[in-house]
Amino acid sequence: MKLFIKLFLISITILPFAKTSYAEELIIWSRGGWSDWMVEGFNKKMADEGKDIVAINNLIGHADFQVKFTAALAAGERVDVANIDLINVPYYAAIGALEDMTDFLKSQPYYDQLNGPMLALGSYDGTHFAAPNAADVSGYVYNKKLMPTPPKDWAEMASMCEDFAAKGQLMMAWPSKSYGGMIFTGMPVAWANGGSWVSKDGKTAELNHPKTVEWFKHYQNLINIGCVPENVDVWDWPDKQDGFLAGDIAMIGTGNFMINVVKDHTEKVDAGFTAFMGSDGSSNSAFIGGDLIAIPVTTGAKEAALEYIEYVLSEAGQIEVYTKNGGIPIRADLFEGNPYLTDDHMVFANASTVGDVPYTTVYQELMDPWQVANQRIFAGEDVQTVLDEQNAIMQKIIDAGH
Amino acid sequence: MSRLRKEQLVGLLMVSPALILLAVFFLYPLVNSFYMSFHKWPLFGKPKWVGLDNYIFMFQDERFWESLKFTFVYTLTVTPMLFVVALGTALLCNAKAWGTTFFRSIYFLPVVMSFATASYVWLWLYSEMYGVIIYALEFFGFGGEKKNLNVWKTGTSSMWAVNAMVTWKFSGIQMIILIAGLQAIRDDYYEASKLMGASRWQTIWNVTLPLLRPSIALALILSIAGSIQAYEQFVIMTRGGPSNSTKTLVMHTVDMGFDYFKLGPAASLGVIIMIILFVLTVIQLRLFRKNY
Repeated sequence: MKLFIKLFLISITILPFAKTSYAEELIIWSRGGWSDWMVEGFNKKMADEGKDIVAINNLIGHADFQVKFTAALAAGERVDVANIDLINVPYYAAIGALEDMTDFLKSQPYYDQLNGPMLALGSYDGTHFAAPNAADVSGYVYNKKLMPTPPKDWAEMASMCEDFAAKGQLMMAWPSKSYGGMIFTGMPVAWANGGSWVSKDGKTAELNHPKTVEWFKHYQNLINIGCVPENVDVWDWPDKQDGFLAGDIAMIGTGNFMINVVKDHTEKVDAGFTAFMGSDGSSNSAFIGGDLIAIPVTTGAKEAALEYIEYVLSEAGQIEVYTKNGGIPIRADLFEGNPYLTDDHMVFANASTVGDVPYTTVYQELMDPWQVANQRIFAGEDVQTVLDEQNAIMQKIIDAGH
Repeated sequence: MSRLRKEQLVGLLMVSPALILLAVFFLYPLVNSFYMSFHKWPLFGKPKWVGLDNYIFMFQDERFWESLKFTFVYTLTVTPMLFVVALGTALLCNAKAWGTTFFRSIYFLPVVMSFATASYVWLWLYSEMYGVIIYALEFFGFGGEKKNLNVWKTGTSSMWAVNAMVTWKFSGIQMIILIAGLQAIRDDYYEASKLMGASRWQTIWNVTLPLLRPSIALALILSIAGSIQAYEQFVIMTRGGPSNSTKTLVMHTVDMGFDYFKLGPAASLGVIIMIILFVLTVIQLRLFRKNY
């Protein structure tokens, strides 16, 4: 009996440390649910090819990802592949947290087809540290039951606004309280108009760019006409989205994810999508959000990590996993003939080729003056004065650096 | 080994799990924060000693003073709100009457809900287009003829809106603390007060409140400490707005550390918050010292 107890104790002590297989583990950190399907697809591919690589997805919530990933980097914890919110990538690249992927990316036949602004955001000093992975593209959604066709330019938008105001209906709303919401759905309207937020190299604040000023004045004018909620300066993302889905607001800025959301609200909403347009309607733009994929310097399996990234960027990863689940491919050569891209998806896919995303290593800190600018202007303050003040604050933050 | 020494060792062994937890999760982070606050602390590479630079940076930063001011205003407004509601419900629920146990449970119920959930529920209740509270307020004439009331319109109205949620959420726990204090007061005092012809209010003022002093001290210390560390409710309900007018000190600290990646200044903010809490707690303990 004593021998049996001894053997039992030894076995329960040793067993947890015993390896049942010798497959190479690939630790992946993600913030989006679709990554589970991507990992599943990759593991199946590895099994089919007889390779001993097993990817393990560590799915972390959107809100916690940055804090946990930063803590993991600082602690030297092993992370082989990270799907990082793209706006934070310049900072991680600047501090040397990511592995060089230049040779790998440039050797891919589809290198020229990768989304340009996303590719630029993953670069630092001419070196690629991250690849485009998953795109969230912004644009307008409108309710055909309230607005049969969307406005083609700002003048038509203002004219339609007058009609809505006369009927006592709301035509538009935006989330001034949400800095992320405004850079995603507000700033692209200014970009389409030729405006700017920061310079391409991220070293100069350009919030008071004349064309950005024009956009703010145009939206402020819509409030004054009366087709936008008077309190829009304190509206959040859910306020305007709930209003739209309830059939009370005709048009809002949103992302490609809305294509799936509106499917459950067909009783009150017959949705159409259109790209953000500049003042004369001749040019479009969008905010290209989403994830870049990178290999942190704390990796223990760089070769396997590159193999995973190759799968993510392949037709199998981008079409059969990502686009199939509602995403927009990050390769322009995968738009045509893609069975999962509907006309609605194509609005966002086309917008992604002319869209933008700001390049700066202090993005999060710049959100503070950006939010203040939005709330003060949409509360009725003078556009030029507010933008000059907040631009000076942005420049101070940029000059202080990370 | 002497018997006394053995007993001491056994005692030490018994408290060691708690001591280890305290050392790992409280003392080490505390000392490390203090150490970090005197360094430029990059994510990679060696930290560099910068002396008081992080503190000077913080004190020269307008955002620090704005968030400090707002945190104090919030603490000074929400603490009395919470206390008055808790004391009122404690006095009512301490009465020897039918149904008091039921009401105690009802008043305590919001305490078990997570802060984030409560914040989202109230955010919905305050919704300009679909919120029940806004509908009720407009029904009673608030918001004028246009009926466009929005509680988030100004920093002040936003703060009172959050205060109402916090009072609903936390008065239950203070009520329980005060009920425990009320039940510890011997009946003799009330009988003597009655014999001397004191009115109900005179009894509360001269008998109940002085004898309730330790419980009041505990309730206020918890409330003030919690308010100085306010975070979730403002992150979810106001996002620090409008125009940064409701940004708390802890929100600013989290922004500085995990959004702006400035770990040294964030650590100095943590030390400042700790000093503020320490000073306030000492003052309260001295004020409520048993001196009768």
